[in-house]
Amino acid sequence: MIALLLTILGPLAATVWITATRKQIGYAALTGSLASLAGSFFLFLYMIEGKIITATFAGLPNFPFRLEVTELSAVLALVVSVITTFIFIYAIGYMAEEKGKLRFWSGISLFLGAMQLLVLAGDWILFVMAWEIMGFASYLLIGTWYWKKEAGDASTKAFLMNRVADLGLYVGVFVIILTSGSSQIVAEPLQGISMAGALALLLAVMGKSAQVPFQSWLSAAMAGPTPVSALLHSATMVAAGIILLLKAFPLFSPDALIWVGTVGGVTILLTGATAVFSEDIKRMLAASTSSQLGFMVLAVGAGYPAAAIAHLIAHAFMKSSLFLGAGIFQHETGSTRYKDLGGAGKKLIVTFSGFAVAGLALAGIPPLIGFWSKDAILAAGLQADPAAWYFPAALIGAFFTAIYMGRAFGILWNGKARPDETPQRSLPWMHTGLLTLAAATAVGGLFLDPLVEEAGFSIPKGTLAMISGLVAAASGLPIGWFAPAPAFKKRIWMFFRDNYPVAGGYNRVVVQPMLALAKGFNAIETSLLQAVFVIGTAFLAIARWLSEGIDRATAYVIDSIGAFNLNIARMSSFTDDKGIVEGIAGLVDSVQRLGHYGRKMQSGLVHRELAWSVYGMVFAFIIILLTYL
Amino acid sequence: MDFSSIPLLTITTFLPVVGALVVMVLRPKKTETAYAIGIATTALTLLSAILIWIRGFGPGLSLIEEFSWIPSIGIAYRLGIDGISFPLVLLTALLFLTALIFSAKIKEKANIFIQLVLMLETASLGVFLSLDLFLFYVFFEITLVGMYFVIAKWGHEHRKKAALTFFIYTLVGSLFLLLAFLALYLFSDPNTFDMRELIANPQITGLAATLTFWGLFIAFAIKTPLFPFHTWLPLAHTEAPAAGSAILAGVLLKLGTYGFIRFPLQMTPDAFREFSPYVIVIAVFTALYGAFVGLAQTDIKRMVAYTSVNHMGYLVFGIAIAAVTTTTSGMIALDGAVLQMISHGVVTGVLFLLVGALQDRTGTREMSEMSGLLKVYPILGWLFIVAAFASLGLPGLAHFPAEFQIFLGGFDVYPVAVGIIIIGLPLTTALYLRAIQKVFLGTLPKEFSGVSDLNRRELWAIVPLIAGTVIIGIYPNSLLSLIHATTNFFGL
Repeated sequence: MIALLLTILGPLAATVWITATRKQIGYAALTGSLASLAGSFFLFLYMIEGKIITATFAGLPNFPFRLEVTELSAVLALVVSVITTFIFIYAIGYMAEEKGKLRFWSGISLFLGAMQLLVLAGDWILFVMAWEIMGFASYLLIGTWYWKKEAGDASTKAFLMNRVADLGLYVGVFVIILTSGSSQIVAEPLQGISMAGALALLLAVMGKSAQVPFQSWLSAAMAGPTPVSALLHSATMVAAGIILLLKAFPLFSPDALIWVGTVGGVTILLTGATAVFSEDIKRMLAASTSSQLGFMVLAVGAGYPAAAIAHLIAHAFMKSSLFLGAGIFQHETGSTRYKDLGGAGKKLIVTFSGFAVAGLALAGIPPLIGFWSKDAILAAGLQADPAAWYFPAALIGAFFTAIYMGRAFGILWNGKARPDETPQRSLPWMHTGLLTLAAATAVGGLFLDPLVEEAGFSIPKGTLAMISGLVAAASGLPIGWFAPAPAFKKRIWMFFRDNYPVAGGYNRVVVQPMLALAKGFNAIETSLLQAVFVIGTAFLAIARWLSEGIDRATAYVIDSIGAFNLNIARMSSFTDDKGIVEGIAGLVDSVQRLGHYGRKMQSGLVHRELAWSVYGMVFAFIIILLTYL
Repeated sequence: MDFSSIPLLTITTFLPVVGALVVMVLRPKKTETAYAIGIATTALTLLSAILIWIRGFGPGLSLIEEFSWIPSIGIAYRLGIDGISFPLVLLTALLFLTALIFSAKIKEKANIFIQLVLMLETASLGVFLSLDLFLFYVFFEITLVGMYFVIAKWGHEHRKKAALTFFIYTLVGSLFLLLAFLALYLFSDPNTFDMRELIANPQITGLAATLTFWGLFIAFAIKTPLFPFHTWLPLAHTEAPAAGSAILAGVLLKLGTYGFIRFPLQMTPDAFREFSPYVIVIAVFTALYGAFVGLAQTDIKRMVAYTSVNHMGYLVFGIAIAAVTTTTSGMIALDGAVLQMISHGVVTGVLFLLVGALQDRTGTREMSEMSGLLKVYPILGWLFIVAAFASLGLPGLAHFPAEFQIFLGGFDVYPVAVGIIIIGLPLTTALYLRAIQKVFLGTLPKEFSGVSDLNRRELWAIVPLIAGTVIIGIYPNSLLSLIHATTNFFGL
């Protein structure tokens, strides 16, 4: 229980500390992540011992919040905290001379806390909460440098796109809760969910895991600091989509799984091609993330969550290393574009070796970690039902992976390095983070199998898969290495590179119609307002006319009565009876005074009339009630 | 002295008026003294509301305080509380306290302003606590007058026009309310104004019930407001002073939604069930309409005002779901709807205060004239971001548990309607993100010479509301347990 809370609340406490005290913020965040690491480590040990840990809290009526340590969640929590801790170590160096530390460290700690909550959530409502809070944290992090226009645009785009896809999560969760009558996440549900519910969940996965057509937020998210990208692209954020698939997998019908697999396959191919034609190292890595996540989605669709878990873990280590490496290149050359990065690898040999190990692993070179996980995916593709479609998609994807990694190596190694301008900054911290993670990708292959076993799954294997994977890697890497240097000028390649701007892309297809619709509704609203105001003014004019009329009539009556009385008085003066005259004159006076008083009430500011009318109405109400008796 | 014999509800309701009388009699020369009296009064009122919580109350209407008033026709002074009205009383007490703290900068005719606000508080509390049609109506009308003067006297450029529209609209609504109340009275046997009787034993049927239902509907749809009766809202919210907008959105709109639950849902349930498809269509349309029109605004305060329309659409949707179905789904939706009242009150209240603080500093509400303000006003900016994300329904903040339950309950009965209404979520997301991007992100204009960030007075007003937002978001059960006990008691 303490370990459970430590895992989740450690980073959250760091967020609170950072925003409240603003002292030692980097180290506070690191402490938070170390707490999370310790917590998840103990959870892992307990899980191996076979202890079942659950905790229930007051949530919504009938739907309590629940945390549960399953075999899978214990493994994932450990992976998340290990990777995050090393990214944090790297970030202490990276952020040393950057602006926006406060936002960065508080946001990233919140991010880690939310991810651990998501992994350990034992009920769907808590899962939704963690999912969206993580989205919020990513919004803050991508916008760390908020004064830059592209940072603001990117964070807005990321959150908004995710929010659209999140509607799927809401609907899916509604379906789950209403089908089972409970919000608990169960490993072996009694009944599955409807096709509509499954597709809704798939929509959420596509948004979070940057599957086609939601891939573009991920490349825009590069506007944030590198450690953020490293985290978003590896063990958190995009991984959340896969975790959702894994948790919901038992609920999916075979028909629904075909859709899942198809989305994965299409994404592998399309975003893999984008990565091949990229001219920017970070954009290449971003497109690669979508593609690699596509492998996992495909594996789940093929019915082999084990392969997805294996690749999720392997990819988390590989991609975080690659980003950390790319971040050092960026810091040293001031750019992420291939044309500025030529030969940077020769200059930064340590960085390059870390980057290369992770890159070779991603390409699927044995005995690195990626070889084993890619093998698992290919085997899953082969053994799946529509193998004719899953296996080729995965194989071509693996081939693309080898090409784009080979191309990155070639550009970083060949070419002439630019003269050294900037001094090397804070490299020890950064190298520690990078090299540890890269080392993990080197030797991690040995531990992958047992780790997935611990999570309660067994990885599919196959000789044909292994051989074909090796061929794809061995042929792709040289093609990439010798491929022409940057600048694909042909339109078709730019179409691939720019993430398929179909019909003007997201902006034209989603944003502009939405704004146009908003303008249309606003026009209706404006005319409605005017109409109401015209009616209101007319009504008031009538009311005023009436009240003035009444006023005038009253005044007339009062005056004439007064005059009449005066006349009587004059007449009566003949009677020489002073008492009567004075008495009547007094009466006239008081009547006239009353008239003035009445007029005072009726004239003047409009609101006074209205106020009187209310009191009049209340009074009338009382009269009505009294007479009713 | 026996604690349980103290008429806490009456004390809570009339404490503010006592404060107003003190101000009236003393006529403090210094505005600080006047505000001190006003703030102390509202603080005591909040304390009194908390005492009600400590004393505890049953799921049904309880802690009844009853005195004979016009015995010949059965009008009595009756107050009572349950799990639906209590959260609203708490919200009212909190919002008036913070609104008064926030407006302590208003120097012009401060004494009258404070008296009006305090009178408004008594009237609002009275509406939520009344158990007598007549008493309810009187309090309901007084809120109208109080708010009218606050807008007309202390508002912005077009305050006269706004106040007038507000007044005419709600006056028309009151007329329908009056007729409906008379019908409820006349068709009860024996004739009674006692709301407990009318709820326990709804007797009105047939055409009379239909007409009464629509009368109540129009009255509360204007107050809430629902499309097409909402057009007073943007004007009034935009033109009112910040504290006035906060009270208007936070408390006065709830008079309408509270009315929807107390009257149509509880007193004409069959008619409501019969016509609920229409109500649902209106609610769904209102939610989307508010979101779309909000998206098109350039005035940040007006934009926030339209999100109220959107949120009220969700809320009434939840109530209509509760009218449709007697299963647990109806209860879930109603739990959500009641919590939504509180969440919206706190969140929109704080948003209006923040926008007011922004306007005080920049002298404009046009978003296109602001940029990069996060740099000079980090505290204001971050609090706005938190409040905006709360308003767009981010989990962990106040609106999420409410809206989640409304949609979950609704999905069981009308999945398609929920499928449409949740499009409002990305729309409000879009409008808030655009506002944040325009106003707070980006580069600060070079010539900008701003005054300082939020001062202590503003923080004292804003921080409690932000804290409330977080508490409701993380621990919704704090209020939901009370609400749920009552909705359970309804036996929907």
